[in-house]
Amino acid sequence: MGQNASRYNQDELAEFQDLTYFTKREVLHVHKRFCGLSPEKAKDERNPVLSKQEILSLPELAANPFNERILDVFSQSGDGRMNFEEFLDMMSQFSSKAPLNTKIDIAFRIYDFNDDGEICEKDLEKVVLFLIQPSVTGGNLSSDDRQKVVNNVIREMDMDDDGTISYLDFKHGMSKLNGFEESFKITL
Amino acid sequence: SSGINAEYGHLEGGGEEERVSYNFPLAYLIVGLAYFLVSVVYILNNITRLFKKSAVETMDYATAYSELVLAGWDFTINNVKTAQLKRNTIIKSLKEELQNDDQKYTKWSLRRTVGVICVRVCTNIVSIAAMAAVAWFLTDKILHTTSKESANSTNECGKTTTDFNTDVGVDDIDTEFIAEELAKFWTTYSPSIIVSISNVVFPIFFQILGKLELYKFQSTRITVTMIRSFIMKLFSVCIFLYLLYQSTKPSGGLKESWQTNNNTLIYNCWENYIGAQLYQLCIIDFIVFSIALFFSEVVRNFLRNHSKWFRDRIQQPEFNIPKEILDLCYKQMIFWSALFFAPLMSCVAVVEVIVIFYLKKTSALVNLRPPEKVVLNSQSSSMVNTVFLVSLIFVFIFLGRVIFSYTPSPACGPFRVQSARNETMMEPLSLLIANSGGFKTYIYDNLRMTAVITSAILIILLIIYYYRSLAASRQLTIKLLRSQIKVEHVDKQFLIAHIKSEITGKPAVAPTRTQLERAASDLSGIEPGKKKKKKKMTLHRFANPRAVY
Repeated sequence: MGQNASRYNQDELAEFQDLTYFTKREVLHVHKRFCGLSPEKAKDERNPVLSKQEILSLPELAANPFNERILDVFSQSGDGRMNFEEFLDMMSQFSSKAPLNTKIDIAFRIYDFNDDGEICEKDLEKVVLFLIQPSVTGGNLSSDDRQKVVNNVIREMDMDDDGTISYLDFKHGMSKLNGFEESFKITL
Repeated sequence: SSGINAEYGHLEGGGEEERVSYNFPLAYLIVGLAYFLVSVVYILNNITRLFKKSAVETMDYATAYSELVLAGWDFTINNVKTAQLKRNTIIKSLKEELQNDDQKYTKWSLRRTVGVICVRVCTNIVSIAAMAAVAWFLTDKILHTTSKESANSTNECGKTTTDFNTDVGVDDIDTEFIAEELAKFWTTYSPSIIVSISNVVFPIFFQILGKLELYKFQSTRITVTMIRSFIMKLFSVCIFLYLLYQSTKPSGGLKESWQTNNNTLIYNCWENYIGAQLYQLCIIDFIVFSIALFFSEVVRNFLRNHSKWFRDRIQQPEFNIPKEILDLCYKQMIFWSALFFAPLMSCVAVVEVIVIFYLKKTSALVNLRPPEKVVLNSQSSSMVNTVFLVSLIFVFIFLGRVIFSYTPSPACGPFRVQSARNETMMEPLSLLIANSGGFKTYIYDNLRMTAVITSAILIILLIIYYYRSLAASRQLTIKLLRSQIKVEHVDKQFLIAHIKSEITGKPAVAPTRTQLERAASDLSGIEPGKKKKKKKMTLHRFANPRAVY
């Protein structure tokens, strides 16, 4: 911990604290977990950039069906590789201190697979597919059922009746769902 | 003696010879009433808060699917096994929702409808018969036990339970003696045993009945079973309390007539008798519960693990959240009724609840599988609180009758002074209010009149009606606003098309007729005051014409 802690001086830590929802101690804790994912890179480089596979080895992310999509959203390079600042940003937005609007915002970006600013039918099909992840052991939904589910979700959330869920539709719908805020957080 | 001794009987004080002026009866009364007041306020608070939260969720469109798909995954899960369980739960819930949608639009043939109605009438009659049987049995036991008990029990103040005859020598054991002891045991404990056993057996019985009734939706079946079990539990406790009330009521209302009955000894300490019976009920319920837990969970799982024959036929028991909540509510009701007569009940209840929690927790972790459908949301939480409130109201009825109209017992308890003066338990409090200053007495005297209370109830009903019509009109406003959003969207698209056409010089595309019709379709269905005509078609008002069912 000593070597890593000395990497960032007090000013940088204060800056991190201002920019995220974390305190200094939590920033250091996140840093520790980050470096723990790939100890060699942490030793060699000052500002290590971890690959997608290495970050996905984090247990809190490994069990999540949307893990790859989350990394794609938060990584600047778009392919899932992240440096510490991007990782810190991601963890801070997922923390319990982030307000509901932030969470709805990142949820929208995660569910919008083709990044066109609205969640269309194809995006929802991908969401359902990732969520269910048909496997041999678990249950499965037929493609008919999946189509029905997607249509029902659009019918419930789409307020202006254009067939896709815009950001405002999504925001309005999510603020009504009480269980969302509690379940949409990742704590290290 | 069998040692069941309500602490109430040992309380002293209130005698007029006391030098230290601490008005014990008043203190006892005020503490008891304050506790119940706090309970009521707390429950009402919970109900309103949770109801508001659930009303926000359900007043607008239904959100079942979006809740499962977009907000269904729990991001805090961090191991693969839990993730798989969660995934399975989501898949099952989605399947059930789809099934419900399908079922909504299937129609049964006339024969089947008639058959199902007959079956349902029969099952309801059977449930009512079951409750009546329990009630008859309890009446028989309690009202007849009372006279037998007073003939058997000793003349000691504070101990009203049957004394086992310890004069019999140790070497004089023969079968007659054992049979006699068993008979005495049965007469003493049978009411509590019957109530506890019926509360364990009947929910299972109602579940089987529910399966027979062939409801369209699984949630309806679960709700009906829960309501039946709850009514059963409530009913059995109410009958128990009512019979206690009957057996201690002085017939004719005169003190002298007590002494001519066989009930003299009970009259001497009737609060003790009630407290002892309720305490007995609590303990025996705990014992029956542990035995039932042992058999239904431990033994079942043991058999399943060690024998293939069982594994094929019997399913692993499921952790059933609504049933646990009803159990808690039942215990709470017993505790509330017993509190005034056996104050140490609070300690007993705390210990018992802690023990039950750990027993159930270890058993659940080892033996039960997780529930298939997640039930807890704010709507069910507000229903749970309503259940608590209803049982509290029944307890109030019982307690109110006892406090306000009985004379306390002359031989034990803090209300002996009131007993000597032939007054009710409320007397210290009413004396306090009567003596303390004009305004309070004025309010107390006048507010108790029937006219005032009736008009207060009428005014409250009017206010409720007003708020209800306000809520209905707000729902109408929501529908209007929703269709306005759609219309404005079509409008926006029209304007954009015009701007495009200005820029590019090509002719604008007008919104199509279908688009306009769809946007205005909600509006056409909304007319305040008109009754909706029942449509035979499958589309209900909010259906998206493009949706596939």
